[in-house]
Amino acid sequence: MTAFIKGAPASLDAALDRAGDILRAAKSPVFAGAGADIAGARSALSLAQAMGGVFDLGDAAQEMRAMQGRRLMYTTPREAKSRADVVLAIGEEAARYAAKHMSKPPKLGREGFKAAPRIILHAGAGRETIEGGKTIEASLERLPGVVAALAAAVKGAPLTGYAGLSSDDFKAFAEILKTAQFGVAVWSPADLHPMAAEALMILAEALNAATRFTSLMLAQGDNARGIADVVVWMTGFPGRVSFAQGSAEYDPWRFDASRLVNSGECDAAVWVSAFRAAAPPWTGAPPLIALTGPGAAFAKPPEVHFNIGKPGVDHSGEYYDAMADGLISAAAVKSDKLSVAAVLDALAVRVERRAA
Amino acid sequence: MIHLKGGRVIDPANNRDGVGDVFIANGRIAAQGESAKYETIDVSGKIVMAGGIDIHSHIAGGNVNAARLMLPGPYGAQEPPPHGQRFAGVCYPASETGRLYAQMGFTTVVEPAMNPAGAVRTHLELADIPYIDRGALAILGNEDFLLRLLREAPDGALLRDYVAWAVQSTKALGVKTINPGGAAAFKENVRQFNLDDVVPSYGLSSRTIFNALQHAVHELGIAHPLHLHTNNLGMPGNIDSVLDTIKASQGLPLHLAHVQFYSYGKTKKGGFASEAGRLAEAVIANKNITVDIGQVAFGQTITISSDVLRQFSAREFANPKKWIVWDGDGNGGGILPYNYREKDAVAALQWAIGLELFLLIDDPWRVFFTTDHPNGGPFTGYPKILHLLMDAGERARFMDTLPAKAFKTSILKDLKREYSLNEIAIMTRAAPAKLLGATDRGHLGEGGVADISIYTEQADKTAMFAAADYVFKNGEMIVKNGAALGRRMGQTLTAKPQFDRRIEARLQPYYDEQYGARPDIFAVPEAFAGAVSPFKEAGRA
Repeated sequence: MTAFIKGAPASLDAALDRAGDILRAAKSPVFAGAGADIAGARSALSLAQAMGGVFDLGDAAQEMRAMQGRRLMYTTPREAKSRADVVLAIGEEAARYAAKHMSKPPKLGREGFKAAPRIILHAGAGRETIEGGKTIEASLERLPGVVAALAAAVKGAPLTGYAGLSSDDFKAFAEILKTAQFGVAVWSPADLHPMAAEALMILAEALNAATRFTSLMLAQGDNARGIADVVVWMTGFPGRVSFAQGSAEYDPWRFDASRLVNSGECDAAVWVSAFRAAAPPWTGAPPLIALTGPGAAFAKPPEVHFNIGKPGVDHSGEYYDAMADGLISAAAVKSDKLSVAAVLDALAVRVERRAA
Repeated sequence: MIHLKGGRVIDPANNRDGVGDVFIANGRIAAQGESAKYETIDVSGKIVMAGGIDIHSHIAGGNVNAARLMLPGPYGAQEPPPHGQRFAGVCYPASETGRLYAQMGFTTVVEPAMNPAGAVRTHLELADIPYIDRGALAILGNEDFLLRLLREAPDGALLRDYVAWAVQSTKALGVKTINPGGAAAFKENVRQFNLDDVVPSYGLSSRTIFNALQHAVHELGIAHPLHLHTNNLGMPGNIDSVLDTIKASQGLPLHLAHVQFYSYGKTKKGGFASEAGRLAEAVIANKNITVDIGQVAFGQTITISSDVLRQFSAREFANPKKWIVWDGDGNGGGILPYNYREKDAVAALQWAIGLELFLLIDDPWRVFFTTDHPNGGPFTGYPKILHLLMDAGERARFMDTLPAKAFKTSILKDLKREYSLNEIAIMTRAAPAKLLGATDRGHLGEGGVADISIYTEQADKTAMFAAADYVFKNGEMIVKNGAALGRRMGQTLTAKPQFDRRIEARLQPYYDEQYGARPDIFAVPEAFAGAVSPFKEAGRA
């Protein structure tokens, strides 16, 4: 089945009519979710704009914040994989990434195409083992301090020990980083406090005084980076925008969908999870219209639920691909499964028709 | 069917300049009598030109978005940000870009720096820019695949196939190369890259790379010549680089982008001096060269460039002090805000050099009107710049407000030339259409696309060009009395050079190894999910 009303199978038309009624009655709807393809995100944004609602789809807030910081150096996954001779993996996600994609020697670089041994420094809890890698043991809470101490050591700034490591330990790690010809710090903006990200960029810039060093920012899944991109080119602002005042307003705290739902500041919610079957994280209960892959586990059945297809599998779509490090257009044989854009565009017609 | 009655029709492509009529039928310029029923619009006393064409304006792509994040701007603002306003966004959202261009009478705009790996993203954004038609130039010349190919097969046949494949798969209108080899060399810690410096791992010089691309583009029959951003942009003394580049161009067509940024001499103290005269002389003497200016307009802006080496070196000049520098699979890039302050002698000299070039190069068919938006200033500054070109008195008045020491090496005050409306129409309409191979536009001859802008002639040229009385796109009225009407979506122009499929035998294993994907991983489809095809073929030589 494709559509459900309060958990009971319904015809697509009946479900769309019911969802249209909910939206038409709403004064302050939110459009949120874990992810959608570009067409789906554009439709959600258009509907939010038309209804004066809030748009908070995808989670790239930390990546966007990194783009807005004092300084940022980064490279692509392809360059990091092919060229990095020294890798600084920060946190467990970065360590997993480095272990998976950066275990082979670099192929490009100053040594021509000759293989050179790759050095991996891993700052984290040490649960991830990287063959041949050295680990700087640090809990998640202490990671920012470790990054700051490394940056200080690279810059030759006064330094004391931290997190069980002596200043000499940090200096030794800094010496390793300085041997890089094209070093890459792998990090996940979602894992690293913005101040620690800033320290990491100070470290990167300082190393560039004598050699090349940059970073690889790991993207969040579910096309978060692609959705953020669309919102920026459509509104000029990163995600979490409200159209309640007519033009777009950006405020990552006020327009956090979970906060709006839990505080009772919205009276209808549209939730989208095109790549998975994620359910909303909030505890509030305004009328919910959900568009997810099959099998989403809701706390209670949504008012209206559409099972939708996966972009690139069940229908063609554009979304962020991690290895291409950009939006790709994935063709798929057309199935009878719905796309996010198809459902939201049909809802937009209903909202408009009944409002008229 | 529309009859534009009694305006002064300025159509240099058809040697027309005089009072007369223009007829529109079925989206095209029509002959009188083609239709029995015309709606007549009285445009007597007004100037009628083809729609404006901007060949170099950064309006879409990942770097533009980074600029928006760094300097956020108002959405849905009715007016561009006030002159000089700090922290005001100058990279408008897509909807504003289309509206602001249309209201000035521009109907086609080319994004000159499309990262091939970001082509899908760039085209999705271009397709969201309303009113105007768009195009994009693909950046080649720093990517590992091309450099290997050039090293292994220098005869050029395979390179030609690769260039054609890249243009087709990214749906580009032409090819741009930016500090060719410089970005690749920067990855190997090279900090300055001249014409004959070589990229360490490949042994190829900038000269070799750009010559090879120049040949490839020319031989493929792509109308737009190779679009080159040369070495040493923005550095004192870089006039030698650009003059050497012109000498190296072998008489083959070559477009030099934003030349204002290369027309610098070096003073004894290492500061900036104007060398506009020498560059203008070289451009006049070498008929294979076309240039756009990259005029500086004063105020807060942001610089966006895929010349990662240049942007890295310039980061200390960021104002406000923030920057992004990234190493890409090919070029990468850098984004840093910059404020051209009127009190700053260097900014004032850059402003003067741009105007010197406009005035000294006396062939409006080979000099193009740009600010390299937003690098020299936002495109919303165009009306003011047109005013300065058309009115020597206005230039003198404005110069008086700038620091006198800025003009020690400039001859601007001695240049009395004033652009005529006919020359403006050549530079912003007829010539760009020819340069891009978009022969269906830029003129008002029968059968041409009915892209038309109509202005009220007045002494205040800023006011004249800021708000067109009427603008038509494909025969549809999109602007009236300076305000955009409704919303119309345009198309993106693409070139389709042919190539031998044997290149795919090389691309296949390379992409498999590098990306774990097929070579079409970055390819732009004919249509995007949920949208009709936004593309239109153009650009044939």
